[in-house]
Amino acid sequence: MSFIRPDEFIILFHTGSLTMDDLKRVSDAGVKTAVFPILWEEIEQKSGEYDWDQLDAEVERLKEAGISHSCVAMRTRLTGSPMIGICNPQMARCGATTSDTEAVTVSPCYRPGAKMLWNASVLSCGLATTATMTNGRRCMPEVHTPARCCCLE
Amino acid sequence: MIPCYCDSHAVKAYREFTGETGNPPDLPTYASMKEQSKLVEWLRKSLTESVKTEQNIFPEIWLHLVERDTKFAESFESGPRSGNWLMSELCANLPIELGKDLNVILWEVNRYGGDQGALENVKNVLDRVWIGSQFCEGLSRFTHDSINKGLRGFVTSPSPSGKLEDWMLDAFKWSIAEWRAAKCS
Repeated sequence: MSFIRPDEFIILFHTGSLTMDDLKRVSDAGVKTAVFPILWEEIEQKSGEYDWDQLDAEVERLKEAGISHSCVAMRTRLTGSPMIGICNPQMARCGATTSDTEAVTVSPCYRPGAKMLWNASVLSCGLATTATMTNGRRCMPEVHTPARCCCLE
Repeated sequence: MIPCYCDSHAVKAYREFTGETGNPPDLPTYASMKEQSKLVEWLRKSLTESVKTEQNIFPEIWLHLVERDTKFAESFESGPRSGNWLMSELCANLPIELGKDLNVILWEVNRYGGDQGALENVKNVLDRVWIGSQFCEGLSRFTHDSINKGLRGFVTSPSPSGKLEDWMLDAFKWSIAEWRAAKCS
């Protein structure tokens, strides 16, 4: 399946720094797709409690500006930078252990109007994810139910 | 440097796969992959299974938007630890293995989109790669080069400060027109 949409040649990044007026001007210039990063820690500030207000507000803001396709790049503070998340020794020193990687692993979720993107940290953690799945706890998001995760084993 | 794949679960999986008792060795360079065949095979198996597992979730969520972003970003330049060497293989094989239409998107983010030399790992799937032009200057400078390379598009933001200026809007309009002319004609 070819999935090249004419309105996806240019994707706007870091939308949060732009005012509504600026977003509308960008939309009028032809940019209809945007991606914005959000920290998982800001959504799950307490274990098991999820606050989607920030994410929903940005999605709505983009839609209002005429940017019809919005994506979310979920990150964690620990792995916010791909370089840190993948190969920087900071990651090891920070203790990027199973709990951290699981925090990413279980974070993919669905929100109406937003398409979730996984960033490099997820891929780097994918190794641990697989290991996690191989060795016991298989955690996956429950489809369409973002606030809950189901353990398959 | 400790490889990113050295958390406790990964170490356990590596030991089970290889039968060895030590930790996974490092992969500092692409040349070192030739000396670490067991490690490479374990990484290939783990990464492939991981991506397949995730992909089996997303089609249910996104319905027709069966698409996944791996966003390796600077990892293109970080060497083989990131597993980016597997990307062309995954893009080629996963749709067949999963029996679903998939389009795996890769990003490479470089400031101004200027250093596009690190595309060796995705040379077979360039039409799925959005190149990163971190700011609008990159659109003006590298749109034609990116189109000629067969890339899919640009990911960009207006400026480091987030302040939008008229020339940036012109860059958006011009670049979009160029991409359309090249890809939609």
